[in-house]
Amino acid sequence: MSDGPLDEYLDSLFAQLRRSAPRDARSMLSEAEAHLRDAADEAVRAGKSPQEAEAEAVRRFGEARLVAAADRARGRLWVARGTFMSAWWLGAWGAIAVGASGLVAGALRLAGATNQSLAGPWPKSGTTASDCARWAGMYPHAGSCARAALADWADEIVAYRVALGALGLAALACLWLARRRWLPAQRWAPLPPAVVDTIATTLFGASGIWLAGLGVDAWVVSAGHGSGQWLSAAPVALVAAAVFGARLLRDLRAAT
Amino acid sequence: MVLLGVLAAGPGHGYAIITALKQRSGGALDLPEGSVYPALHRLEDMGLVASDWAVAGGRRRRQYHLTPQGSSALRSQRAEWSRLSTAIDAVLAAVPARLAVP
Repeated sequence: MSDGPLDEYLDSLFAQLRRSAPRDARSMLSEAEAHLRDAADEAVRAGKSPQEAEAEAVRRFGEARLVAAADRARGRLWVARGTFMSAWWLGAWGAIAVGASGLVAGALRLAGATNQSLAGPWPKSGTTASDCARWAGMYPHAGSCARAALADWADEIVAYRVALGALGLAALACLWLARRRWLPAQRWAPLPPAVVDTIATTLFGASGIWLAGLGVDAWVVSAGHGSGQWLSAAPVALVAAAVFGARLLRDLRAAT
Repeated sequence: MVLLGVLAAGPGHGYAIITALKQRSGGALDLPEGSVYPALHRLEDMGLVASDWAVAGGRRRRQYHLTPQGSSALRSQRAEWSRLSTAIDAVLAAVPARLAVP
């Protein structure tokens, strides 16, 4: 079968669309083919030869390079928006994980972990008399400036992390609302799930190992002082890595 | 706006849309026909139109239709266009008759 102008044009458009997202390229090519065949059929009905009709349809459609470039420009916007939305989503889950580590730290305190194991060791220098007076005011039963400072630090570890977790939940809620209110399905365009889950598994996994290392180091080198702040976060990060890892496996199975 | 205007009359695929555009404009809007697709895809990204694939006339076609947001955008863009064209007409009304279009 010899290719006429229409098939040659579609080959050219296919080549020009190679840098577009596969789904967009396939859709564009399919629409272009239906359009060109409609236009050619109409020209044949108007009295042109099939060859002339195809050439006329191709001429009216416009240069393949320009059509593909116009569609690709939209693709770049898609990638930018997808990256932003995925980063927002991942950032929200990161903040929620920090919040969960705050809850773990709080639970450790309730279970009897000392402020020193959670927040210590407190640096011996660098505190001023006014700092000590402030801490003494906040923790009058601490007994010393260092103990009051440690109590404040331990409180902050729990409270700040939980506050960040609440912010993460709010960020996730905003994304959910935006998706429902302003973003129909076609506009909800995060990056492919396998990409997002690979990034999340790597970040949470690396963070979990690093935090566990810091906790063990504090346990061995500093007699456990301050190990709680790391060891309260490490399991949360590792659990998150496991969850995203399971999602990644599911994505990969679905893709094959 | 003109694509939304064509789709306000009812759903259509790309070829039908560009044909309607040419007919309604008396041939004045004779764009390269391929340019309509990236424009439709962008409108879809913006949530102003939606599409479904269907087989019609023996060919697989992507049918576009206005979304409620698209209808609302068309109303506001039309009002804006009306304001703008009225303003330009008012300015041009002061042009001396010898310079007017014959």
